[in-house]
Amino acid sequence: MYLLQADTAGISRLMFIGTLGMLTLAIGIIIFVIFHQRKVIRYQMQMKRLESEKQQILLNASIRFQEEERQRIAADLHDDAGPLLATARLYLNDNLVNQEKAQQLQSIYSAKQIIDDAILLIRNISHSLMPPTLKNFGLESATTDLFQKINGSGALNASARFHDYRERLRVEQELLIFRIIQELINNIIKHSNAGFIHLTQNATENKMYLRIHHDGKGIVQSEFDKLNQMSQGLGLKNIESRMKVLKGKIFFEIDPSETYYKITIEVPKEGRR
Amino acid sequence: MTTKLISLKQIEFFTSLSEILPLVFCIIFHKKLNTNGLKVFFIYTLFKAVFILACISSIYLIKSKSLYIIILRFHLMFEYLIVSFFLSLLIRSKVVRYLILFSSIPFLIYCGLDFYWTDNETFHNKPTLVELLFFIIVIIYFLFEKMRFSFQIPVYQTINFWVAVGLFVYFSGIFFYILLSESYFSKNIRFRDELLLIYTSVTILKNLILAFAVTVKEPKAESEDYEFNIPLEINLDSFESYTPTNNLN
Repeated sequence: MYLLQADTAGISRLMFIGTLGMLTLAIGIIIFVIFHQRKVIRYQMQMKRLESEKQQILLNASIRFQEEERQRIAADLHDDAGPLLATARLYLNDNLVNQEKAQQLQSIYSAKQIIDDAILLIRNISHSLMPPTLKNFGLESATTDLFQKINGSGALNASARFHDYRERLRVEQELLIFRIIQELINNIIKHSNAGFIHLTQNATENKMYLRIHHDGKGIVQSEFDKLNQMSQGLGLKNIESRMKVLKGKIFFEIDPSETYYKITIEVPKEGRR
Repeated sequence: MTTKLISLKQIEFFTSLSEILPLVFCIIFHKKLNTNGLKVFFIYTLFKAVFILACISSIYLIKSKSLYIIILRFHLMFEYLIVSFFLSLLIRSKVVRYLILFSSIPFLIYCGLDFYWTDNETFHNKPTLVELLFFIIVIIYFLFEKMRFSFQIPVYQTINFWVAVGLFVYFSGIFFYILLSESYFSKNIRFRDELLLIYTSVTILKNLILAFAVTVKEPKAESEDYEFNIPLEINLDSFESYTPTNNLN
């Protein structure tokens, strides 16, 4: 109606204002989209930077862990195996041939006992590096063994159920998973005051899943991420770095009933070569 | 007055020529047009160039107004088809994508009926207004999708975004020109000149943006991390003993 009544100048003004309005609106929307996206991208880049810092912390933790492990082995060898072998050498000194037969036998017997102790010590060190059950019989046996030992202590109820582990993973993969399980179990025993720990395993064609349930005081994913960002908490960082090597994922959660905590691990399967 | 009219005619002519600019840039940077969307965009620029040549021929060589109006009508239908196909390729949502594609059918029917009902001596703006409104809404939706889902590459570093921006500015800028053109285009020469000035400025701006769009250097997107999804058939909460025949229970 206005259009019919308005004069040319009015229409012209209307057209200019309308066009200007439309263009302003269009350019406004475009600028808003660009700035909003830039803001989101900046936030994501910040997250990426934090992630790379976290990776650096994990790497440092892993190096530190390796160094600590080496120092422990060195200390075990130096403090225990070294003196044992030195004592054995003392029994078997050059003067042994000049001694009486009874004394010779006594010295040889003592040296043999010391060497046996040294063998046992070295075996223990070797087992701590690579559990023989794991190497010979696989992850299922090693894990079940570990849980049986915990259960045998009587401190808490522990059980492990492997639903589908007919095909073994590579030994390196099994060792990494076993170390993660050990670390998790240690943490649960040390910090959670749990009454039970159950482990279940299942698999699809190309992935293996493990879940640990416990009724103690656990952590959820956000807490795990937060602890990982901190400089302390070497154990959790080791779990994270091992998961990275495995190209797997780990997820900490509390059951909806809030009666127990769950830790789920997803690992891509790599068959034995 | 005569000088002004001549200069306006010259502006109009150069505006028409500027429609060829995106096509020239598309040919120069043809290696960048490697996605379906950009191939459709190339067809659009080609179509626009052909349309402009047809318009110039009808106005300056054949000097037939009815032929010019018929060309405008066909241009509208083909433009709708090409732009809707182009935008459907940019949209993420399947529903919206099909909606854009299938909207061509009722629109073409409407254009056909309009063609049948109205004469070819004057310009009828209603089908064009429908087209403009529809595309403005679709492009706003496209920008909304970009805002929500596109975080890997800045939007201003993609060709598709700048093509959509060019079309958005053009459709928004000529909306009032088209709205008022039917009633007043031929009635008042001064007003017609003003209309033409707006149209030419917006069209040149669009063509510059479309030409610039093809020159944008697109960075490569990083692949996204896979999600932690445990298959539904995998049971991790049962403590039943392992039996090889019933291994998933």
